Amino acid sequence: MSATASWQDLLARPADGNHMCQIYADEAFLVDAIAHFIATGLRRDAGVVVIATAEHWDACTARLAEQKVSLREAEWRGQLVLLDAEKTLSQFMVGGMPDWKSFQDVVGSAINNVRHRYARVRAFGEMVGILWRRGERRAALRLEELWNHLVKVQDLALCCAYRIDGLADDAYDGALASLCEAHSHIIPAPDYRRLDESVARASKEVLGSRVARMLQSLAAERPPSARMPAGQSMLLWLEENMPLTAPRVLARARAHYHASTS
Amino acid sequence: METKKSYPHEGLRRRLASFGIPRAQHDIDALWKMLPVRLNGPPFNGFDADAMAEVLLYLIEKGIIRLPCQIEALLDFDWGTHACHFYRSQEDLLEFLVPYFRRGLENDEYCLWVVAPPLTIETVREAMTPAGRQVADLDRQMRFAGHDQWYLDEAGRIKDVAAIRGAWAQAARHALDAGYRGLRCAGDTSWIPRRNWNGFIKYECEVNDAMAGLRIKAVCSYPLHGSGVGLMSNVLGSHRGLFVKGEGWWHRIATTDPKEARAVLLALQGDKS
Repeated sequence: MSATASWQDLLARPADGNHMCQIYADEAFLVDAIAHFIATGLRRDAGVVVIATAEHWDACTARLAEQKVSLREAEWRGQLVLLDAEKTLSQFMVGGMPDWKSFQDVVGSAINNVRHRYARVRAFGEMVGILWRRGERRAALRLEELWNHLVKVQDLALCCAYRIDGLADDAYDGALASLCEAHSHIIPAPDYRRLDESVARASKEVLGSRVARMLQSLAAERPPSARMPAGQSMLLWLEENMPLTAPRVLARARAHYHASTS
Repeated sequence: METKKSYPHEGLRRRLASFGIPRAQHDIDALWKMLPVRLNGPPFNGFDADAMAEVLLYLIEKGIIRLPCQIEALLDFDWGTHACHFYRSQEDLLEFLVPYFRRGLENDEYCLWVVAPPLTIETVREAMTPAGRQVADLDRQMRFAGHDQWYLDEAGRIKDVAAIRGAWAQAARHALDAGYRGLRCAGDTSWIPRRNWNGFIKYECEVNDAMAGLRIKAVCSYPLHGSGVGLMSNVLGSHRGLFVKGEGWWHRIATTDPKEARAVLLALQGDKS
């Protein structure tokens, strides 16, 4: 299918201005991704700002300790700044929506402080994920807009995370499609190749090999705005263009993906 | 166990009807025949009526194909059109070209058919002569030429592009001088050796450019079997309009994106699956 860069490569070497979105069903995948993003950033001499929940930060700290990454030293150098996601979020929410000025004062300043010492800055944030989980989707998407503005003016690489299972039916109620609009990349699963193969096999079973191949080629000509593995892109294409067939392909893709995991 | 539906969901049926596909043709067997895909007949395994309708609607709504139709609906070209036709068999070839030229005869156009094996001039002349009509009548308004006579020089090499283009222009002038409305022509490409494809495609591109504004309508026929992806892309880029037969219906591939057109052609190529 596609030659999309692996999420490991993407998170290790993000371009300035990238606004990546990780969706996860499994906490271990999230922790792996954050730890990788932080460790590679520190090694590449980038400033790193992490806005995570306490629970995820604890898990991440343990993972980074296994990799012998010294967080204390990085914090002491001013290379790493850690903010609590819940607390930070509460500092710029006004009337249930994020407020640009307060966001700039709290988050923008934190990034700016790191920027003074490091030419390249990367940030991880899961405040949008918290809003999404609370059902405050409008606020989450508004916060993504504020982040996009900050990414532009600060020229930083940003990774967000949402607890959404990319192979679950409810991801295709418009949720993933709206996230595509707000991001440059979607990181949907730990194993891209298995995802691509599961979707290709499911499409073939539901549509027959010749139709599936034709649709894969047609879908590739009209890709979503965010970059992602071909299997994920195909699922979104099916949701948009073949809404009655899409759930059947998704159910089979889910079964194949999980069968090959276990 | 998934149940197979004979008809698609009512919402899809309304959309099919809005494109002029009558409700009587919404059953799974009829939809299958309208798809530009080479498929075995029933049973269709997982491919149900909803999926067939959704694929067909996508192709039509996005302008990738026109509504599948009978051959007669595809034969009225504008002057200056240089279209291509992909065929699977000799029968396919005749099924397109005989009505194509008959329409030209009816429209008072001069017709020129450049014939290549396995068809012969005798075969196509016979196919073009309806019962009760004299061959002499046909010969006044139509010319048949062998591909060797039209495209090759005396040593059997492909003539240069300017010479072939000049011959078409001369034929068009002859048509107008003789009082016809213009020239309707067709040529088959099955005789071209693979090593000569690049040169021939260059010729096709030049023909495409040269035909704009001329009173010529031309169709180039290409065998679908054995046409590789590269050739398809080149052919698609050098013609305006592409015709191909599906499971009983004819398709006009309307997209201007060669990759989309190629995706449909590949679905029609080869054995059924």
